[in-house]
Amino acid sequence: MLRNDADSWGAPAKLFHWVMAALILAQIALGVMAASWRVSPTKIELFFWHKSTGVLILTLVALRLLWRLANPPPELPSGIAAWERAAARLSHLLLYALMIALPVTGWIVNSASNVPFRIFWLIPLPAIVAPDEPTADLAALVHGGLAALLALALVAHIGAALRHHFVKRNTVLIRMLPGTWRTP
Amino acid sequence: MKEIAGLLGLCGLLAFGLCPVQAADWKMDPAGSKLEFVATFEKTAAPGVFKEFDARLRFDPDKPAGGGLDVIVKVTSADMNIADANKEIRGKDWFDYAAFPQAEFRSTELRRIEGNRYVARGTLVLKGVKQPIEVPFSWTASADGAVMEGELLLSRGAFGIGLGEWAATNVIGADVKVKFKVKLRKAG
Repeated sequence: MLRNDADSWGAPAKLFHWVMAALILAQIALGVMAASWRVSPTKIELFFWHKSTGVLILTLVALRLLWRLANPPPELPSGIAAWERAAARLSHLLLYALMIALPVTGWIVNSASNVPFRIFWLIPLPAIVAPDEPTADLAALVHGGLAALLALALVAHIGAALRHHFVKRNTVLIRMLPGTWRTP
Repeated sequence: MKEIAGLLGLCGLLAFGLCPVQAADWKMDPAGSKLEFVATFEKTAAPGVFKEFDARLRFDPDKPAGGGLDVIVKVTSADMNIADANKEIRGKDWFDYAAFPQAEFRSTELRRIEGNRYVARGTLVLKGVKQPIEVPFSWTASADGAVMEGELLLSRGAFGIGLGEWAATNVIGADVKVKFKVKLRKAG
């Protein structure tokens, strides 16, 4: 069960989904704490973990998209209205766009503020823009706005999954759970 | 050469006491000189510079004993090219610009290690703390003067740089590398 098929997700797709779900939730918490913490060694530590996790997420989303291109997702079950299909498509597109845009804008903040940084103390992160305070401030603003948008998109995503399960009583949520779930 | 010959001639004419055998005096050329410090953030180098400093030297490379080196650093000219860090380092926990705008190093103990490598032993006064330190340097003479270059490691804690919670060294490292390149011209 590596590859996706018409009505189930393969193991790699599930692993990508849940590992990234955990990382993204941790990442939002780290980001909010880092940004609001008073200037202290703890703040620097929080940013260090936030940045390292962000690069990890960006790497994972690139691999995940490659995997998804080679493995079309299972189809939505019958009984889903056209607007629901459109909403699902749009919200997934938005989630992927944010999984890329958030790390990239964070990377711009880090480059423009010129803070030296090595990912998990190992790999130096190259600068993608020149050091410049106004650029750093603007990118930080955009980064924060996108994070708020991500929080909303996640609420919609989780809400929709629960609606599939409890209201529409279909397999959409169940089939993303780890392990093998027999589809009726 | 003519000038030196003339000077020697003059000395020969004058009483010896008026013209003591003294090493040449050197003044710094700020344009060709640089004083850097490299701190570490999360085990990653975080470089900065002191834009303003001055060095004066009494030094004869062939006879370093009897020479002297005075360096004055305008600590308030520190620049790490990181807006937040530049704001932070001016405060009491770090350099404390208001109370200690200047650092000084004075040495009257210069000696050769080998070849063009020397060491100046002296006292560094930084943030009001006096510490004996050794500053190793190389000496390269050129047509229009000389260049002294070197680096040393200082422990920021010894000078109270990074107080309170900043004294911990896991996030901001204990050692700071100081690198200098000083271009000198013969004074006078």
